[in-house]
Amino acid sequence: MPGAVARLALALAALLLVTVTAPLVARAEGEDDGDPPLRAARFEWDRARQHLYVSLSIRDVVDADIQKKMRQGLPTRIVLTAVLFQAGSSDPLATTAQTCKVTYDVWQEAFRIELTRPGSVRSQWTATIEGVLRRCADVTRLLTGDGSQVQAGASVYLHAKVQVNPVSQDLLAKLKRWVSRPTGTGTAAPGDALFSTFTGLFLQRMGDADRELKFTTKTMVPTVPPPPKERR
Amino acid sequence: MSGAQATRGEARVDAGLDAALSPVSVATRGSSLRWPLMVVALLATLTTRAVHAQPAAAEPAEEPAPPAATGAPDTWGSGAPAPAPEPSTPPAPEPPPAVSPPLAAPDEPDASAPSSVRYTLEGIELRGNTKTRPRVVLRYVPFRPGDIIDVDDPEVELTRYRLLGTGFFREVQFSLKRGTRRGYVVLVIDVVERNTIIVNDLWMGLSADADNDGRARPLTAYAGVDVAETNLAGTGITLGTAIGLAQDQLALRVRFLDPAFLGSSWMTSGTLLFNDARDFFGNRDVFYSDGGLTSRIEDYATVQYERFGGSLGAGRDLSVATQLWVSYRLEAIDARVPVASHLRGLDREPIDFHIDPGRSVLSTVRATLQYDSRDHPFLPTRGWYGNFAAETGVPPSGSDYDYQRFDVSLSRWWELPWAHVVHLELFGGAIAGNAPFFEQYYVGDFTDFLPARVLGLNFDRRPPPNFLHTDIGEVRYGDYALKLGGEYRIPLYRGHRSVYGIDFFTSAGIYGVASRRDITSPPRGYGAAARIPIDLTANLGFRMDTSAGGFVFAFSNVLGFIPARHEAAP
Repeated sequence: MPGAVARLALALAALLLVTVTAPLVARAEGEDDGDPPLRAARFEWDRARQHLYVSLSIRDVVDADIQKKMRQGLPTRIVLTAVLFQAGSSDPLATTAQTCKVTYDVWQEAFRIELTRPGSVRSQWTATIEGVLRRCADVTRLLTGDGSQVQAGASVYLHAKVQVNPVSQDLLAKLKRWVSRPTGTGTAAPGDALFSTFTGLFLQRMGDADRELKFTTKTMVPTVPPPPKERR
Repeated sequence: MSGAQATRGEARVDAGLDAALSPVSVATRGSSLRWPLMVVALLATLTTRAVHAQPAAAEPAEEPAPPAATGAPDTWGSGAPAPAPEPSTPPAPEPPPAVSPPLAAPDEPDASAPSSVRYTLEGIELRGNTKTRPRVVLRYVPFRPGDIIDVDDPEVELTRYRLLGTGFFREVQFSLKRGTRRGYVVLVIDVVERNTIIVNDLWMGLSADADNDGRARPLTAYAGVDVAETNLAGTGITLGTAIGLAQDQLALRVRFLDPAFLGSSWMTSGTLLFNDARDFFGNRDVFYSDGGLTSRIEDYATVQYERFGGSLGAGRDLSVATQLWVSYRLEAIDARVPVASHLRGLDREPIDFHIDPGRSVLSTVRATLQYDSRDHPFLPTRGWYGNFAAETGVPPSGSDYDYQRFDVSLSRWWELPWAHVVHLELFGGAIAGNAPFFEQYYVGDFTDFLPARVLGLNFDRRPPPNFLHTDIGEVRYGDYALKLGGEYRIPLYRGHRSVYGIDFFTSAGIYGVASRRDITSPPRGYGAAARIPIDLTANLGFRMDTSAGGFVFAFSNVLGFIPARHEAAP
């Protein structure tokens, strides 16, 4: 019996070791590489100080792979979502978003761009990737707040997230429902020993987006354009 | 194959959407609201199609739309029906037309631009599949030459996920290239195949068994592994094998699954099983008798038996969430059954081993109806999982066991507002007739403190803990079973690399297992309430979803060895 007790103690110790270290290993595996540097952005009021706009660049999200994908004839979506804050505060003041859908027409050899911003959808065409970047990745005068939300003279900054081809929540839910029973599509059945491995492999490919970028802008007091010169 | 009608962008005002997209005041405090707010803004952006003048935003001028090709199919969504594809006649090649690039300047808004781009599908080109046969890939692609393909059709992206979901590929990319006629395209599918030999299951644990003479032994180890090639010779067929090992016990299993039998929507499966096994019977003071010449008292009565046989099944989807399987099983059994009696309650009774001595045949037909709306198979957070199974012995086909078995199980998951998960499960089952013991309900399958059966092998001789001091300690196999259980899960980690998720869980339940005799003639020596063979079970540990499969690290197996059980005794 002492041998049996020793084996039992050994098994218990091994089990404890695995259960305690597994989450730590996994957490270490998923650790972020640290916060990215603050990004430059320009905040400016309109002349009436009614609307606050932001201009910034997100060209770095469109890397060579994304550019190659853009030329493949199927839509690519670049989605920017951002929250405006007053410097020194973590209370959000306002939110804004911009979606750019890029579709390369293989016969026209041109990119069709559908740019959705607060209150507007605009369709444009361009022949080059540079044209796409200029319209989608150079964010120019994006409406991000108004005078009732932002105090005059206050320093502000943005927390932003850029996603390329984000998977919508509806689609994600549909995929998860589908993956829960893939038997009709060629893999093992729920309850089957094969099943979890299959779904794990599948879910690994189901990220939230093809590419994702999060950043914070530098704080800045929005500028006010000078009044137009009066004609004499 | 898009049914979507291309619509022109049109200027209209939608006050509600406009408000949703405008910068909003946020009255709620706290930085934890930042990302939920952004998600709301993102969803609003993705769903809107309203056109509204942006206040005072100085946009650069845009380029005009390129001219639509005259005589081309409905690539530009003019609303006119696309020309019917020419059946069985490939389009005649023609030189690509000269394409006028869009003007560089001045840019103008293109109010008349279509909201989507559509082509006629000329063909599908598959690249990168060195092993997987094209017909296996095309089984998952709903598009066919001649279809009108809308680049915004969500079916395109879903098809890509379907291919990834097969487990055959590490990467799947779709692209379009020009066809031989203007307005026609070829859908190019680039795949990168992956290793499809996978470890499905791994069993390891400790048990307490007895030798062939019925003498109890201290702890013994058991182990097993299940491995499968999930894309056999590129056909999409799964061929798997599994082995289970314990002291003096061996189980082997080979199985296949064809998800599209002869290219149809029917699935087929088959299994071959060999067991060289033993099982342990008797509650106390087991009295062996050898034809009246010799006798002895041991701890347990051990049955040694071999099973060899297999099953063939066919199934299909009845709906998105419902599936039906029907299967036939044939097994040859060879059992060495001792003559023994034991103390049941206060009385000595002969042990009913529920198996025919010597050679016998088991032949059954089984039907299973399954409903599954879970959002995840291993770490679900919401949805239902229901299973109804009916099995009957088929004596006309030579079965020595004439019985009917009905199982119903129902599970439901809820995600709490703080992201923890609650799970409730209910199981009920009944057997009528003389089922062999390995087809009956075993207490170890319901309590977490005993090892459950693996590949038909039963590793443990012990009774359940019997926390409620009922006559459950007198029960090993039963004709009726009921279990009500609950589980609480706390997500600890979520990832997209080798470990997808780790949850801590704790569970508890109440169950009962009884034979017909336990109901009609319960063992003497138990009070009225104690004659209901029920007990409690509980567990805690971690569930891990990984690229190598799902794993459960639980403590109950070890806790079951703590000598706190109330042995069967009235």
